[in-house]
Amino acid sequence: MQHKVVTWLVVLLLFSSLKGYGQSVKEQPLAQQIEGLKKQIIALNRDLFILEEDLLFPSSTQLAVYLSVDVGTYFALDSVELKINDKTVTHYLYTEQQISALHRGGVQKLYIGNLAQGQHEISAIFHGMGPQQRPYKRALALHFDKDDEAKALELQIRDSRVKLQPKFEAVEL
Amino acid sequence: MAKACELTAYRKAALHLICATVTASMLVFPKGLYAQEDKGQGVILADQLWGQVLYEFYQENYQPGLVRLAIADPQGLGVHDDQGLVAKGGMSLALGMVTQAQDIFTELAKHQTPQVQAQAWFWLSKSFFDSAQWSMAQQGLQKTQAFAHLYRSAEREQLAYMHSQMLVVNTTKVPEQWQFSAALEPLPEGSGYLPYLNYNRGLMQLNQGLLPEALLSFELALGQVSAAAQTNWTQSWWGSWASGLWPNPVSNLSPLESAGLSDRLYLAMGYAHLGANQPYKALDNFANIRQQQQDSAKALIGYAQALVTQGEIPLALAIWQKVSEDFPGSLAALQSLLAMAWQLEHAGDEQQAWQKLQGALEQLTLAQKDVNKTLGWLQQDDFLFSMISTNASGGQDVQVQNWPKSQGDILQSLLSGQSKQQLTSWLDLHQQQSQLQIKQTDLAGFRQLLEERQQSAIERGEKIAQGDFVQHSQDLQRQLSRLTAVLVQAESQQDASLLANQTQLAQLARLKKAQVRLADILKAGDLSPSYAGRLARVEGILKWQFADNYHPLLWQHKQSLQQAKSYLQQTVQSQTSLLARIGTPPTYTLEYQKITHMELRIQGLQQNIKQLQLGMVELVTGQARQALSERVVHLQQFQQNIRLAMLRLQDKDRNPVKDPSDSKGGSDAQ
Repeated sequence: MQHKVVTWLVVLLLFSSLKGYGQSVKEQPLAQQIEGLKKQIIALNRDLFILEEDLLFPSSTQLAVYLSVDVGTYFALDSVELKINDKTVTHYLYTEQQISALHRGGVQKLYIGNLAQGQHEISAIFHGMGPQQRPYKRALALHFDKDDEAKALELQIRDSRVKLQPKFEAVEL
Repeated sequence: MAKACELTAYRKAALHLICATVTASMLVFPKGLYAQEDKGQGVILADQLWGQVLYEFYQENYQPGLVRLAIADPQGLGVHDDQGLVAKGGMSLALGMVTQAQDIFTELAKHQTPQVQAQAWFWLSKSFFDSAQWSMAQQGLQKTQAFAHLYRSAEREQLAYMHSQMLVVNTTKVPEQWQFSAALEPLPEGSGYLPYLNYNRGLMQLNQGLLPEALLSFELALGQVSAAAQTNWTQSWWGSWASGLWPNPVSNLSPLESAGLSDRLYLAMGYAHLGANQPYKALDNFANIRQQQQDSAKALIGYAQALVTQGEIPLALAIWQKVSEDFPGSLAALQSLLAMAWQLEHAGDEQQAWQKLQGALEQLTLAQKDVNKTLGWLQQDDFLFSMISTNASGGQDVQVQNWPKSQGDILQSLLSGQSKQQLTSWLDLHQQQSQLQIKQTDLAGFRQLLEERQQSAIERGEKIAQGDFVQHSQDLQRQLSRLTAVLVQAESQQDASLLANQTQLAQLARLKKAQVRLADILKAGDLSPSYAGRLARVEGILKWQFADNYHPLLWQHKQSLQQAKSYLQQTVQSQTSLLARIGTPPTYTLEYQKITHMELRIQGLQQNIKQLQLGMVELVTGQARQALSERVVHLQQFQQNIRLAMLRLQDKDRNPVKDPSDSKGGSDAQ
């Protein structure tokens, strides 16, 4: 009963604040109203993103896998297949724009999901063009422990100038 | 000048694109992501967040980019804070959040690093320029001059464009020739900006009555159109409304763009020559304009006018005829038919003149019908929605095909200048509305998820409560009570056998047997004193041994039982707590409150969007209605002129058969 009363009070408070907002924005010029609206939409998206992660991927079971690329002289990425405990969880095909964003310092959140606590294995298979413009396929694997904290891993594609080959690594963040 | 302003406004949306793309190339952010072992967790997290921002930023996904920045806001971006601000300003500007962008860049302009200051002033100038705050833009541009060496060629080109445009839009002072030359100097040969700048400059000169100078600027622009069309160009900034609000960058200035600009230039030059009484030159220019394009009707009329001044009446008549057939119901068609009637009347062919006037009346009726149709369409609440179509890239555009062709010029003016901005914002809001609906569905999904979790928790609880562990604990309790009773009995009866195990029981049995034998011996009597003494000692030993077994056993069992009681108590407590928790499954109150809060926020935003869209629709329709009202006045004037011409012909009493039922035009004329 007490919960219901509190909820209704919150709802009433929100309604009144929204009403108040509606009244105040009317007096602003149209461009400013639109800008204000866009700001609110961005804030809403942020809160939604956080809520979504809280609900769908609680930290006790969360696993996030990121991907970054450095230089990329010896390897042009086409796609990545990600497996967790030998089960494919995502298969990502990249556009030119995404590749360009990765080369310029972008980090892609490749996967987010839930995983039980304990020992696991992650493997990634990279497809693309290697040195001398030949089709190139490489895989890497990493064993890791999942505890009650959120786990983040990063797949890194680097250039090995010594070997004149691309280097693939998976690191725990 | 009006056209110059129109062109400037027309380019505003495209400039946002340039901002976005050029920022992507101008901001060289250090990566610094690859030495995790040397970094703290906070630094790694900041790098990771910044990388995600960049991933969205470089893909021109500005809204998700700003969302990422907002997520990163509480913990900050560490060493990337300044770059984050620059990116935020740039993305805000690209999304039309000009005030926010200006605030950010104003703050960044105070930064100590010259590189940051240079970028801040560049963007600030651009944002002021985009929002038509000319004096502020001028101040910003002056500031950029101090950092000229820090800008890349693409930025320098844009700065030169803004400098030159500022000379055109500044109506208070007529710029000198050298000022233009100085402003255009940084632009490379073949720059796509050059023809537009010279076109605007020519229009400004024309407006000031500087005819030779204007013609020179137009000719210069014309030469630059073809040069620019062959030059690699990073961005197509002649963004056409009809082909999408945010067209993808193209590598070359498209043939459509250059042809459109050429048409405009030839038209301007043609009329400039006509005004200067140079009909042959006018004819040359008009002849270069493509047929069936938006400017061709005006060009053809001008062309015919030039021919008339040269006495080429038959050719002029043929051109007017073509205009009246190709652009039915338009002002150009009415103008052509009236001109034809006038020429024919003066040539003494009243019959044909009368026919042309009747034709004009028919076209007038068509034009009025189209105006009424358009007005009726504008009165519908969803007239803008009915114009939306999905383009090839999945985005949404305003579809122009529904608009009557005879009123195409009104549509054209609607899709440029202020109305275009309104329409762009309206479409933007429409897309935001769709996004919010998706978010609403997401929230409904979350709500359902929580309900399912709640339900499954209840079911699991019930299943657990029905399990045998409750029964088991009760059995254990009973066993404990029984054992306690045994202990009490053993204590009261001083009976160790109740507490003994098998070995101990065997030992006790032996003791008892020994006691029985001792008793039998004692009953036999006549024992020697020494033997009796020995027996007494044996009896004592037996009693001592019995006592020695009984007390430790009792103590041991008491302890053990106490321990068992304690364990069972703890177990019962845990069990009670578990049952209590099962009895009250999670309510997810906080989560539900958050969802409700967000649903209300979305509703509020949707309401605001609706109101804003209504306001925009009112503005756009208001402008369209005004344009249509002016069109009605124009049509009335044409009607009056046609009737006057008909009356004139009737007065001459040379008109052909006057049958009132012959045509509407005939009855109107009478």
